[in-house]
Amino acid sequence: MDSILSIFNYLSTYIVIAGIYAIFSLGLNIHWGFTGIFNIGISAFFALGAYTAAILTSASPSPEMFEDFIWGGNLPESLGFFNLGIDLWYFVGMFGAIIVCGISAAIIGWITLRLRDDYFAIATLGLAETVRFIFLNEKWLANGSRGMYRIPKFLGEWFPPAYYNYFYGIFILLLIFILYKIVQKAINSPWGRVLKAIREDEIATSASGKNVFLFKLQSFILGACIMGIGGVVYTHGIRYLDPLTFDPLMATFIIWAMLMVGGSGNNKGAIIGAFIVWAIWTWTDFLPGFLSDPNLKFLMIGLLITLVILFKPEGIIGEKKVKLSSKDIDKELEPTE
Amino acid sequence: MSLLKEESKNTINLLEINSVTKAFGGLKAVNNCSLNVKKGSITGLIGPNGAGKTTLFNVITGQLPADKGQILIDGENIEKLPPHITHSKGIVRTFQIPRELKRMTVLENLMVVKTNQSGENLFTTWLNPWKVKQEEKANLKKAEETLEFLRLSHLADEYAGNLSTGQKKLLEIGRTLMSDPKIILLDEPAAGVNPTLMNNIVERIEEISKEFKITFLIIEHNMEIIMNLCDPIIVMSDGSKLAEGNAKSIRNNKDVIDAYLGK
Ligand SMILES: Nc1ncnc2c1ncn2[C@@H]1O[C@H](COP(=O)(O)OP(=O)(O)O)[C@@H](O)[C@H]1O
Ligand SMILES: [Mg+2]
Repeated sequence: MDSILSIFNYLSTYIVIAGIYAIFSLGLNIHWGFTGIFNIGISAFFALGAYTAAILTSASPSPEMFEDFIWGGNLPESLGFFNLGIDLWYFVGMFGAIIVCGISAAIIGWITLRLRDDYFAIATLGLAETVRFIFLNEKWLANGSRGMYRIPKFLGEWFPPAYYNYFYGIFILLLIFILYKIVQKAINSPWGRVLKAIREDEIATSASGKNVFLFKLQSFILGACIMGIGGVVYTHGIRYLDPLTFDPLMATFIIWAMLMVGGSGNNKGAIIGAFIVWAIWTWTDFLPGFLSDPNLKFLMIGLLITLVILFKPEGIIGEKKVKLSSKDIDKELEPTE
Repeated sequence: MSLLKEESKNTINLLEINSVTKAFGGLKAVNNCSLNVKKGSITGLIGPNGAGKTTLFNVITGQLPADKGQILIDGENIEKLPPHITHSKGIVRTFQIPRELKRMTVLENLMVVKTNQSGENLFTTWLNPWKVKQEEKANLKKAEETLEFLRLSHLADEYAGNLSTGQKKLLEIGRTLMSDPKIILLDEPAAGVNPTLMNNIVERIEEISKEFKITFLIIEHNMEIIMNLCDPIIVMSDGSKLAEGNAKSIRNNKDVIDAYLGK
C-alpha cells in the first residue's frame, strides 16, 4: 500500500515537472517549429515569467527572514477583497508575467529579429545570461542568490500537502490542454500559414506581400508569453526560485531536446517530447549502480536524440500535412492525423 | 474612336525605370539603367549571363535597395519600398531558382499569398473564427481554380518540395496570380523545364496576358520562347539597356550579336 502511494507521489511529481517542460516546449515550437526562429535563450522568458509571478505574489520582504529585496506584490493579501473562495491572485500573477514577457519579447525582438539567423541565436543566448545575472546581482529585485522562498501555494488550503501534487499535476495537464488548443487555433489559421512560409523561405514570403519582420515579432512574442506561463507554473509548483534555476542546460537545451525528440512543427509532438525526455532524465535515477550516474543521463539523452535523428528525423510525431483539397472546409481546417 | 483609345492605352508605360544603379562593392550589376514596360505588353528581357537582369528584378521588387535612380509603377515612385509593399502595389515575381515553400502543400503555397486575409490577425483567428473560415473557403476556391488553370490540380496536396523544377516554376506563376497583380516579373520561367511543361508554361502566360490583361516582363534565355512570346524585347548588357525592338530587329542588331558573342 505504501509503495503504491509512493509510486503515485512519484508520478504526480513527474507530471508536474514534465508538464511544465511541455509548456516551454509548446512555446519553443512556435518559435522554431513553425517560424524557424532559432531561440536558444528560452531560460530568459522562463526566468522573467517565474520571477514576475514570484515578486508579484510574495509577501512584503522581512529582514528576519533574510529577505533583502525591496518589494513583494503580496497579491494573495491585496486581492483578498475579491476573494471568492478561489485563488484569483494566481491568475493575476500569471497575467502580470505574460505582460512582462510579452513586452520584453517585443523590445528584444524589435532589436534582434532583423539580424541574420546566427547572430539572432547568439543574441538570445546573451539575453538569457543577462537576465540571469540581473536576478543574481540585483539583490533588491529578487533577493539575489539567496532566492525567493516564500512563494504562495495555489489553492494551498484546499488540498493537504501530501496530495497537493496530485492536484497541481491535474491542473497543469488542464492548462496544457488549453494552451494546446489556443496554439493550434493560431497555427492552423492564415496567421500560422504565414509563419510556416517564413520558416520555409523568408524572401519568397516577403515577395508574397507579407511583412516578414512583423510576423516574426508576433511569433516571438506569443512563444515568449507561453514560456512565461511555464515560468509561473514552475514558480508556484516548486515554490523556490534562485538564479541557478535558469542555467542553460536545464532551462534551455533540454527543452530543445524535447522538441526535437517529440517532433518540431507538431504541438502534440512538442508535448509528448517533454514527457519522454523528462522520463528518461528522471527514471535513470532508479537504475542500479553506475547506471544511475548523473553523467550517464546526458549520454542517454544524447543517444535518444541521435536515434531520433537517424531513424525519425522529423521527431516521434512530426509535422502533419495540411490536406485541403478533398476536404470539406466547413468541418475544420486542421491537419489530417 | 475606340480603336484610337485602345492605341493610346497600349502606349502607356506601366513600369518606368529611370537611371537605376545597383552596385555590389565595385561591381555595378545594374548601371544607370533606364527602360519602360508598356501596359498590357509581354516584354522580354534578355542579355548574357551576369548582365544584371535578376538584380534589376530584385531592385524593382524592393528586395535590394537601389543605390540611385527612380522606379515608377503607374506613375508612383516605388524605389524605396520593401518587397511586401511593392507586392501590394501590384508587382509580383517568380525566381530564377524556384523558391517554393517546401514543407507546405501546393495549395498552402497558393493560399498564403492572398492579400488582406483577416485570419492573418492573431486575435481575429481566436475571436472570430467564423469570419476566417468564410474567407478561407473563398481563398481555397481561388487556389483550386488557379491550380486547374495551371493543370496542377493533381498535385494540390503534394508538398511543394516534391515537385519537379517545371512544376515548381508553374507553382510560382500560380502564386503570382493569387493577388490580382498589375505586372508579373518572370525570371527564366522555362529554364530546366521539360518541353511538355514548357509548352504549358508558354500557353499559360499567353492566356493570362489575354484574359486578365496582366503585363509581363520576362527574363528568358530560350530564344524561341522569347521571339514568339515577347514584343518588345529589351536587351541588357553590363547592367544597362543595350537595345529594344521586336524579334526581327533584335535578331539583326549588331550590338546584340556582339554582346552575346562576348566581343
Ligand atoms: N547578392 C550579390 N552579391 C554580389 N554580387 C552579386 C549579387 N547578385 C548578383 N551579383 C553579381 O551581379 C552581376 C549581375 O548578376 P545577375 O543580376 O544575377 O545577372 P543575370 O541575371 O543577368 O544573369 C553578376 O556579376 C553577379 O555575380
Ligand atoms: Mg539571372
